[in-house]
Amino acid sequence: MRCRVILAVAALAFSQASWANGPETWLKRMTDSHRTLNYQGVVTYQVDDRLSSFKVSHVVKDGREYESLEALSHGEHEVIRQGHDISCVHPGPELLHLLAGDSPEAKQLQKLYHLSLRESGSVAGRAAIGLSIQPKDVYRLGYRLALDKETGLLLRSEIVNKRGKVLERFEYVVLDLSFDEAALERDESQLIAHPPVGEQGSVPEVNWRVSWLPDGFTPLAVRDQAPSISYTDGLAVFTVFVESTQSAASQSDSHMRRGASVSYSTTHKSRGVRVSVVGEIPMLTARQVALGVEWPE
Amino acid sequence: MKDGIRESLSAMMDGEASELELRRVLRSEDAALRAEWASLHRNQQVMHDGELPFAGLDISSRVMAAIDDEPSAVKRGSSWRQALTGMAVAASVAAVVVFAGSERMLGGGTSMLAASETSVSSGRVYPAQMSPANGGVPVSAIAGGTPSMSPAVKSEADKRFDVLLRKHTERASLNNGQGFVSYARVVSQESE
Repeated sequence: MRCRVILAVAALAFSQASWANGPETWLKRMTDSHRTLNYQGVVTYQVDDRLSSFKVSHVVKDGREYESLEALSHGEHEVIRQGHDISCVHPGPELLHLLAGDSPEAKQLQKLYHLSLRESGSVAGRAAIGLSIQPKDVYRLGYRLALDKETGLLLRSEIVNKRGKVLERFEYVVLDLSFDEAALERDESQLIAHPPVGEQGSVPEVNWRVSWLPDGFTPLAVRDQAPSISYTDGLAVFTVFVESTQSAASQSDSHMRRGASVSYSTTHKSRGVRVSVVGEIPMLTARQVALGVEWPE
Repeated sequence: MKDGIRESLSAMMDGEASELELRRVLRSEDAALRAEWASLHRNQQVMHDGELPFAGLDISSRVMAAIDDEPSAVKRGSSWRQALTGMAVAASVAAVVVFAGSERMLGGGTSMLAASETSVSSGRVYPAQMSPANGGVPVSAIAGGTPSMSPAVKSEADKRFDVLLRKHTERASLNNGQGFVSYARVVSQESE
């Protein structure tokens, strides 16, 4: 009997181990792991009843990231390439990196979202932990994530709206964490690194400003100095584009939606420009930001 | 504005408000809410085609009367004062519902393909057929009387969205903690 009690206690202690780290710690692990691990897998991307699948490869070699994303579902094998210095820190993950215990960043995130851990079944054959992130206001979307218990790698991600409707879902169906440098050499033709990275970048200079932003969103410092500004609250990202337009067809407001991504565009005739807000946010937020763009005199 | 109402408004823009919510908002005495509604369609034109929007929807008689009396809704540049009248609010409702319904991929489980056949935001808003009063079913105005946009304009709008979404994703993938799988959003569309 005593033996059984001890066993039960031990089992309980074991199952609690992954809960010992708070949700913030798991978020931090998530943002690190997808850049520092070597892996190859097949990930599916689902919007409504449409499912696409992709081969994903990621290798770190000599401190640089090499990665590729190859569409498997549509016959065409388009390879998206990207990669950069592993030491290169981006502002979004930076917000999450700083999350720890009761740091100001953690408090800020907790002001915006309810974070909670929950049990999750396995994903792609790997034990996973569930992380639920629910927005506290109507200006952002929710996330239901499943992270690899061992490494923190994001195995499944669902973006949900306030009503709990899943707008898009990423999910690994196959994942190999033993993908290594040797594989890199075999697959070199498909894994291309980003050009060397210089400075960390800055917020592009523009002649307009946004008069309204949802709580917690800050502009991103970027290296491409395209005249658009992206904002993040650490999880959601949206970008404000201001482009000159002559087209008569685009005189009034318009909006598009695909999965979790939306765009809202409005035209300022007198200035001959069109303002578009694009991102993984509710349409209401995109619209409110777009209508709030102004030009200080 | 109360959070609950704002949430309804947000749901309406996403084509997911229930009829019950629509009625609740219609009856609201909240001036800020009505202003929000009016502004929702300030830049949109509503055309009636001689048909009454909401024909199947039993909303308050005051609002129905207002829609009856209003041949072509509120035009761009209408004053706030006018926008805040009951009439404008009624027209706003029509605009909002159609506005939401004209989005791609909205409304009760419509697939992306089906939705993109019938709906693209043309910048103009048309009244569409409302589903009959049916309780908790999301209000959606896809298809029905929505005139289709010319394929050229439609593909132009799609193309613009693709370009902006790709530019956005280049930055988002470095900052949303999900990494470059975010590119699936762009690729899945291009390889259709």
